[in-house]
Amino acid sequence: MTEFFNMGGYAAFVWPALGLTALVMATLYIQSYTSLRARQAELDTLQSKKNNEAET
Amino acid sequence: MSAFWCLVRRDLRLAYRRGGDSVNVVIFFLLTVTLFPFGVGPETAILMRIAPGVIWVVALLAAMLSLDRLFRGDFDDGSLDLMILGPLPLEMTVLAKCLAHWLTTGLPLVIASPLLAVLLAMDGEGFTTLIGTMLLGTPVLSLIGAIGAALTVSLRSGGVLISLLVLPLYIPVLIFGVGAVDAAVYGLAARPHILVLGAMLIVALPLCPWASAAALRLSVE
Amino acid sequence: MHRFASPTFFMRYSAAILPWAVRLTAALIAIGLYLALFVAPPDYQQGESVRIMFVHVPSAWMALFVYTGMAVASAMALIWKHPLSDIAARASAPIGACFTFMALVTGSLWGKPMWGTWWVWDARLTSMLVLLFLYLGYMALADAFDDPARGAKAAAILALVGFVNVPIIKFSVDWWNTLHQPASVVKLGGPAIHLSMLAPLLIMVAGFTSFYVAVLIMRMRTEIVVAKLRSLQMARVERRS
Repeated sequence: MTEFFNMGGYAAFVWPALGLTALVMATLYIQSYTSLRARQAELDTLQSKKNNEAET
Repeated sequence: MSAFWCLVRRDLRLAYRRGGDSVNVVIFFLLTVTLFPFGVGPETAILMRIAPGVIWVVALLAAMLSLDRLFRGDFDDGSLDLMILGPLPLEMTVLAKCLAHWLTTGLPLVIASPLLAVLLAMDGEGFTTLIGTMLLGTPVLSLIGAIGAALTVSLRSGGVLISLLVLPLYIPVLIFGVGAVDAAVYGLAARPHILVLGAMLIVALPLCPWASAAALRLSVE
Repeated sequence: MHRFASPTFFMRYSAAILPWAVRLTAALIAIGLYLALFVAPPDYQQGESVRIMFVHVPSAWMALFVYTGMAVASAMALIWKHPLSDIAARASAPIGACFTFMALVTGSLWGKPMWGTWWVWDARLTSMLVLLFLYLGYMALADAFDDPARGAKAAAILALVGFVNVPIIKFSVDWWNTLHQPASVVKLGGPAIHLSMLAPLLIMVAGFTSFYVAVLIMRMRTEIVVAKLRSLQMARVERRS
């Protein structure tokens, strides 16, 4: 197990590389997702406001 | 064809009336190159080694700083709209303006370069090659730069953005320009580099005005 | 073709595709990582550091693939005025820039034990760096315009100019690099690649591609929603005044 984590002595390079890849991809994914949700929520509120105004 | 030369003459006259432009470019060139010995030390061996690169990079920057002027004046006072509608195809208009830009920016740089080569202790072998490559390269810089200028002409703060857009595209010109001078200085064949530079100029002459014209039409919509 | 061109249609079918793309991404990357870390053997020359290849190479390929996609989308936007194309191009840019950044950093981390320094002006890494600047320039230009449609078209021109330049830049940088570093040519990844390494590599590439599709769909949907928002807000302002 420790041998796995040690990566033949290259641990200081392999794990940050994999970690950074994961971090960048996760950040990109999460940012895209939350942005979509936020904009969609804005649109829904605005559209329901428009519908309410149209009814009155 | 006379419309083309009319436009070149007009731009040259405008630049002449504005006065400082060409002079400022050359002064910037001289000043910035002078900074390098302060930065790396006056040792001749080091300066000689970096001379072609420094001269080329600073020429590139000097050319780039003057790009915003290329279309902005005409855009601001409405002449650009007239040019788009005018008898001359927009691509030829761009070419005419690039020529005028090169005559007022690139050519002075070429003329100033031997002086700087002396300041940086460049080996005598490299002088003619330096002038030759800059004669071939600076028009390419004006042409490629025109694309950046055309894309940003309608933006308020286009100036800094131009650098970001245009510098990556300048890299091949830089590589072969410096490559030729380095080759000449070390007694190797400069011809392949010069041929590539020539090829870049030939390819840039039709393609860059085409892209710039498309960008200009977009900007004045 | 025209049916697929409408944003409304896109919103509907992308909503169906998105969850599958996400699941596929997770599955492919999980399998790829497992094979890369536990099944693939250590390299004869580079030992365990070769594991970095399984994220570096897919990142680099995706960086180039996404830029190509942007160029194609830009061409479609300019020539055929396909309405979804410039949305696709704009949405792709940050993803491609991230891949390029990842390729650079993982390349650097892979290079340090191999070459002894954090950065080497090796032809491929240098080309990747220039590609990053091309991406950043595109994003800066597209964002600089108040009118997003104009910004997208200007950026489209830039993307095509950049795309034409990519082989030129690659060729120039290769030339420059061989001029300055004649001897030490280190081939990242070794001479030929064995199936036990090729399989995880290809699976990771597939996983990254699926990731790109998923994130692209999300970002395109966001752009379309933002466009709707903008027109609704403008309508409200007009009605009030």
